[in-house]
Amino acid sequence: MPERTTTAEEDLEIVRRVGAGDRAAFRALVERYRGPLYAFILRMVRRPAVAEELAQDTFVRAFLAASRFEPTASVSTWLFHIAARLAMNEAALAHHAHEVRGEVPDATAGAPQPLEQLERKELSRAIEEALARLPAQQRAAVLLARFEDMPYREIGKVLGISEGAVDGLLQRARQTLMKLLRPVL
Amino acid sequence: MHCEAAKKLISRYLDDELSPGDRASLEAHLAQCSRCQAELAGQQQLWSLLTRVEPVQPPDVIAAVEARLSEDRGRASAPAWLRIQRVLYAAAAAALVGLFIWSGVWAGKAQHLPAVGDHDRAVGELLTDTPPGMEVVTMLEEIGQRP
Repeated sequence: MPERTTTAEEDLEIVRRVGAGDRAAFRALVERYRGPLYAFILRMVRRPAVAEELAQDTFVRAFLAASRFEPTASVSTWLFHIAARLAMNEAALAHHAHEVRGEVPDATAGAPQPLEQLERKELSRAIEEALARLPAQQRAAVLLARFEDMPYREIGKVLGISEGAVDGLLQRARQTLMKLLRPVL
Repeated sequence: MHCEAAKKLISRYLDDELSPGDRASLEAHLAQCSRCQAELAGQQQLWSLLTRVEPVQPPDVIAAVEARLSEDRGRASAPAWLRIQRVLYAAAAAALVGLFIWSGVWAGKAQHLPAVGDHDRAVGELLTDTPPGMEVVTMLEEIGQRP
């Protein structure tokens, strides 16, 4: 599903140059990953302003840590690991404050829309709502598996858990989503 | 393979995470079990459905990120004499706070407990006398202890 325009090896070279202070390489890294990281963070925290702040935090931290980056994981895994920690901390804080309602903004909002488009938006809203009802770790696992095509080994590195634990999260998440989305399946 | 065991493998099967042996066992079971076939089909449908969310338009964060990095570097690139001064201020502040606390304990032991307000006021005056931007965290980062 993700549209990667660089290979894993190219990413490693970009990060090596970022670590050497190459600002053009850093801009390329931000441009390359801002879409996937922002979408992931937004679906975790459900508030666009907070998601934008956390996306910035992710890239700032990545820049400051780039010179110490060890390629034991892919650049993608590394960036999502930073983002996931920030997003899950924020999601936990919001949960404690009962701030669980939020909107994932619609890229097509504002213009009059044909019925087909309205139905598609309603379906999208139903899916987003169902994802939002998952516990944070299950939601993160689903987002990484489905939207980033990440293998279990990499998801485990992002979330700091074993592959077996990733399997457990995805099994439970799938069962919950099946129940929530039964009307539209 | 029983249905209960098969159902536990379906998630990994869909994600191409099964070993060849488990894959073969599951597929053999699916060939004979309509209930597990229906479970598989349902989860395939679910996984396909998830991709029908509307795309998210990411904000352009590069300008904000670069501004934050410039701000961060500004603090770290102060001349050495200024960095040393900051360290000395912080050390002096810590020593004076320690002295006040110690004197409070001593006075307390001598049966005279100073008013809490005296200590707080003294510490507050000390901290407000510190030049602006001389936060301890900034000081620690500048002497190479960046977290």
